[in-house]
Amino acid sequence: MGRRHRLREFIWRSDLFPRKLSVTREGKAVIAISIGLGVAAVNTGNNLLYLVFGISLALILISGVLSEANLRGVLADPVSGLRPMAGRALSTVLTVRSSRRRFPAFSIEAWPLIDTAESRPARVLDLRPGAAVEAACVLDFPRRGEYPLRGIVVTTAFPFSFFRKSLVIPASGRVRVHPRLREPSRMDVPPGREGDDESRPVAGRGVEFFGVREFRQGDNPRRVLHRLSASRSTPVVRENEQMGIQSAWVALVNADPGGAGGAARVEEAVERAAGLAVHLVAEGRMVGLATCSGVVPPGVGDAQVVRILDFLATIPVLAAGDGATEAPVRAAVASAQGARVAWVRP
Amino acid sequence: MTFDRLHRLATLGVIAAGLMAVHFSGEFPLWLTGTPLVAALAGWRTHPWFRSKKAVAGAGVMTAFAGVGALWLAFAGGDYLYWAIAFALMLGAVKSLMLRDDADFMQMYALSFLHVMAAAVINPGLSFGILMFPYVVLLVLGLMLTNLRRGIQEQASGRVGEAQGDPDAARRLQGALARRDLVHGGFVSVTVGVTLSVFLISLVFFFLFPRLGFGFFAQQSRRGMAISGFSEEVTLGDFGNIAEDPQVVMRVRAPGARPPLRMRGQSLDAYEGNTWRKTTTRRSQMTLDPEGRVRVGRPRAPIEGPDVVAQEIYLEPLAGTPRVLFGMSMPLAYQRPPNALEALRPARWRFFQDASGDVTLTGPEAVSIVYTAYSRSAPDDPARLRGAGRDYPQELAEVYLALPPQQAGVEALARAVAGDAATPYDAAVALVDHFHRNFRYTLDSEHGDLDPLANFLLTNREGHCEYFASGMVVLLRLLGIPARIVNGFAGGVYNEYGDYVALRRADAHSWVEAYFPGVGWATFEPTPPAFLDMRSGRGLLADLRDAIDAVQLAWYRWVVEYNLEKQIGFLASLFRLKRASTSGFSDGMGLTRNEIRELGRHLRDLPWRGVGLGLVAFLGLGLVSRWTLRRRRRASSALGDPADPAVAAYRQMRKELKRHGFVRASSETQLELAERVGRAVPGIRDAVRAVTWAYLKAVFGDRRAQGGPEVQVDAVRRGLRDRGARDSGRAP
Repeated sequence: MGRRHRLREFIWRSDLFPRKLSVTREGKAVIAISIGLGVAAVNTGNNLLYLVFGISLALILISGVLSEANLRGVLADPVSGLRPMAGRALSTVLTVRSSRRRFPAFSIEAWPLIDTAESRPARVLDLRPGAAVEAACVLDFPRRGEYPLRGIVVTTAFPFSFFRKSLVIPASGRVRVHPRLREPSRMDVPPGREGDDESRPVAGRGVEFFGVREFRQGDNPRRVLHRLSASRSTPVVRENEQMGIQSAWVALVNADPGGAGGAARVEEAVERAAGLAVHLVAEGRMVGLATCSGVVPPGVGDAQVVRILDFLATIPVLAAGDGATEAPVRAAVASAQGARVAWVRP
Repeated sequence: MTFDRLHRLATLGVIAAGLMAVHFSGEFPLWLTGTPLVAALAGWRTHPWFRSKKAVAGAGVMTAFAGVGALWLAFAGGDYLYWAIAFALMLGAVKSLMLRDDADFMQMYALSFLHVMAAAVINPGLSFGILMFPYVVLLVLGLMLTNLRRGIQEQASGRVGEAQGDPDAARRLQGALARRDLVHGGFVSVTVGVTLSVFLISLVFFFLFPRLGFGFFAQQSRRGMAISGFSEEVTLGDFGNIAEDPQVVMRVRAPGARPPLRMRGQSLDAYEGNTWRKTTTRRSQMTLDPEGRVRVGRPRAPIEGPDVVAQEIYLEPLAGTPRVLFGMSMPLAYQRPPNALEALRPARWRFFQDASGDVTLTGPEAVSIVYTAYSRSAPDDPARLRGAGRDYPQELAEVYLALPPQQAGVEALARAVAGDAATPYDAAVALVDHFHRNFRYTLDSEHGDLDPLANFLLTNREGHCEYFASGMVVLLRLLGIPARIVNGFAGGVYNEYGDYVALRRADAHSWVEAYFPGVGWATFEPTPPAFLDMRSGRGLLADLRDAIDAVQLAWYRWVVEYNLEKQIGFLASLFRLKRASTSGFSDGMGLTRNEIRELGRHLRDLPWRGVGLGLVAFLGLGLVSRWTLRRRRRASSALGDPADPAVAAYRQMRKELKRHGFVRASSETQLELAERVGRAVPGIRDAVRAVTWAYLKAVFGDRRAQGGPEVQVDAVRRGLRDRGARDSGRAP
């Protein structure tokens, strides 16, 4: 990263400069033309060139002042609940609102300021006084991890596109970026144990008939048995037996095996583990995650997927020289009797 | 109106205004200046091919060829500016044919701005000023719409080029560009405000920017007007070409001056063939008298008295040097407004006088001149003129009696008309009478291969002023009376908007001066008075022309010719240092060295220290009030009721923590801060947590803390103090 780039980054991130101003390509061209015009006017003494010079300076000045005025009273609501995945664009909605009483704002762009994220801003072309407009913003994170949300950037190049004025509205929070999901091969997916998938005599989500009961709020109307309901004069629904749940562990060795590209291989292993865990949960299995850095206890459903991916988002790559071994993983897996174990090694 | 249509219309307007500014310079043919506009119109609804990459490549090749062609022509002809502008027009035509996305529109505006810059160099006329109004209005609107267009394009997933490959994106873009709701009342009011601000700032800048440039490489100038008849050699018939041109040449202001005015320019003495020539070309530089005037002729006549008329004259730039000065006949003296700044200029004004008494001025070329002429009426007392006799000085007779051989009929005509006159004056009056009775004024006189003067005098008997004046001078000389032809302007139109008499190119005129010993040169007008009637047409159109001329004069004086003198003059008028001017032509000028010194003294005496202190105080006050306002705003926007003990306690704790270096980062929650403090100072972990939780419950929990946080804050304070005593280092 060059010194200039670092300085720009510092200014951009720093709270010392709440307003950021950058000159656009068009602005640079206009400034260059104005300088040339000024030199020509002073040299020739041609008053009409002075007049045109005056117009160009007025345009530059107005552009700077109005872009500042265009941002006044414009607010953006903080975003929350973002669960982006590395390498996959995430579309989220930002609400941009105006607290002004009289004049509208035009050409407003907004996006969350999060380290490493590339953003395609939410655009609001016309923000009337007192109005709130929702617009889609796309975020793209190249790497998994946990990143601080530093604020919401609100920016505009209105009216003439010569300058881009930006304002960072402070916001706090952290965004966990889940690892990419690598589709597991059939060899990676552990088979279930015989008998694990048999139905059990309790109500559940299986396919075998278990019994009937009265309709409750929230039941799927399709499950209503109409004939029986008519004979009983009250709606009744069908219940199925619970399927047996197969359990599995994903055992991830997140230790650098050494050699060239060791860390990259660990990253790849993290992505494979994530893909495998998601796959197993989608199969309806109870899935746990064991790693050198910790364990996610077994669980089912979407909540378990989020738990596992959250864990994998920040899992460190242990250095080869730190004595990191598979031992803690083995210990964690050993306690889970009868569960299938899928090993993922770098 | 849809967004797209409005944007394209505004862009067309910008292009048209820029092109018209170039076109009205008169330097370029209509087909060249009109081509970009036609191309823009054609490009509005052209075939999609014009938006393809092939079209862009073709345009690039065309532009390259045009560039090479223009460069070659410029090298060949040496007129670099002309061909550079022609190339810019060509570029404009190519670009305006394919206005697709925001970048194209921006490039088009840049090219249009280039056209306006070119027009600023080649078109100093009022048309430029008038066109700047629509240009700025439409440019502001166009730039704002271009900014919105960019947003629309990006919203519709990328640029048009990308949208081309994606039918959905292209459809979305078309739909978005057809919006009608973007340009509403708010947008219009913002546009009007921006436009007015641009005008205001431009004008303030224009008038205040110091004109320190003295034209080291080039000078502020206007193209000089070419007028036949005011060089040292005039061919008979030249005036006929300009006799219908309404372009104003000079404006005259004098007490009670009304048309017709007779503004004398220069005399010509030698007639040969069809050509009048000035032989008295040896000029001597005139010296200024203590009042800054130059006096004409010897002996110098007094220039005070009731019969002396002072006229202030605004003379348009005329082609050719030296420039003839005009004044009502007979001029006695000329004076330029005093200007101490002229000493700084590389080219200074100098007056010269030739043997015939005509005065010329040298100095910066192609600029207008403001000066005052002092004149007395030419002698016209018949008794005095009759008594003058025929005792002509030898050297004068040699010059003003010389004639090439004339046809016998011409001499016979002279004898027949005035041979019996008792005195030269009677002879001259008889000749004038002869012309008035027997000749007709016309601008269309054809003489074929015949001697035009003889044909005019003997056969045709119709012509314009040059023929009448030439004929009378020849006849007078044949009668032995020294005479000369005088070129100048006669007639004029009173402009009530500007309170001056405007003399146009069409008012160019010739008349006769005859010499009378002991009296001087007397003026005779052989042209029938009908010529004045032909020049004094009035009506609505003439009124309009007068109004335009008054505006044009103001445009020239306050925009095109605005300079350092006028800036200093304006400053001087603020201090009431400038002398009252008799007329408006020299407003803002005429500063003497003493007046400039006085102005400097006034500027030095201004309370600069007080101004500086005031400025510093003003800035300081502004900063303090800004800081206070921000503080208040922050306090009012902070979460929680300050009266709530939990909120108050939390704020107190935050202050304490801040004093010890624990500042909450913008990305840190209150609880994260509490955890960080707890890790750094384990002894106060519970207290900090308790206060933080109490605060969070008070703010978010919909219930108030039941006392206690104040005590915890004391614990935090004590803990931090103890830690400070143990470890003087700041917390991380």
